Amino acid sequence: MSKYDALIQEIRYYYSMIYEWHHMNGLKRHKEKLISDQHEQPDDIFFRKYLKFLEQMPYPESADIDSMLLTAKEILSGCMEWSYWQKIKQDFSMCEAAKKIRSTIEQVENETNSNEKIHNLMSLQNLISDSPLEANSLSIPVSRHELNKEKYYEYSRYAYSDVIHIAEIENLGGYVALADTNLEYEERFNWSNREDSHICFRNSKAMNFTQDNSEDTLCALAVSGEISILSVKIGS
Amino acid sequence: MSWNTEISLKNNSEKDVLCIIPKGQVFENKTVGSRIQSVVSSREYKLIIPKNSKLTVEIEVLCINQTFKSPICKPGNVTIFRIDQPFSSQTELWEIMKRQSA
Repeated sequence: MSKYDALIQEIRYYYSMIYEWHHMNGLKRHKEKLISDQHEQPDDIFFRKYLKFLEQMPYPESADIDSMLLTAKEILSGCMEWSYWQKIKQDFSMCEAAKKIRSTIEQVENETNSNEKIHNLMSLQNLISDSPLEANSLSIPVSRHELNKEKYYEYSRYAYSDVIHIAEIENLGGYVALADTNLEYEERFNWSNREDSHICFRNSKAMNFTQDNSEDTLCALAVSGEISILSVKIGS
Repeated sequence: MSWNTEISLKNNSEKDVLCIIPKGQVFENKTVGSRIQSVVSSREYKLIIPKNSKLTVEIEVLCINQTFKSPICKPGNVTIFRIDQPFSSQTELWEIMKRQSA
């Protein structure tokens, strides 16, 4: 089972607890609560809204994410809020189930967004293939808390994954130069102070890098295995 | 200001090999995020590495990341890239690197 499926199953589990409780006890408890609170009569507008909502709640087996989230919201602040502190099980209340649904859905959404971002980033082409490489860049939206160096380098591994993949020869690389140089471009635009939360990844061509595939070059000889690069010391 | 980069190479073949380090060949430090500049060769170098031999050379390099620290004897990599525009000084190179084309 994938992580996504496991999270959906978890949401459905809490939703079914809420569904069963409300369909078993909801009407009776709601009426009791209204009377004990010396509230309006059970035919008030909230009661009617609750009844309608209860009627429309989809079965746990077929409920989609939106309807499960809506149910959680109604418990936390809506027509089912009256049941906020009701115990579904011993030491487990309705609000806890609703909060679990809400937080797990957030987790699913983050997971989905993250997968989309990774998919987009991996489409950035940095290496010459059959056709000449065009300068290109790709911006991904990030939340404010993701606008930091750790997250930047995490995403950069996807944006420059084709280079990481090719550079499996000892002391031959390219990823560090791309990731660091792109960060320098980002910093030129005051990335930590800017309003919009995006990180832009430029491909190699957009940062003035190219590949030289002439057969006598150091790089080509290392790739072909004719020579080995034993060590490189920069700034000696 | 220019810097040097030391490269040790080994010819694995049974014949002498001509090895060209093009002008603008990029060398990177090994650790990502260290804020140390990557460098490029300031001119073209042509080396003959005798068969089955090792050769260590020092080449003159210029830095490409103006806002990062200068590299001081850090282990690095040869990269698969070179700079795709002509330059004749450190200032010119930094100017090129400030321009982005996408």
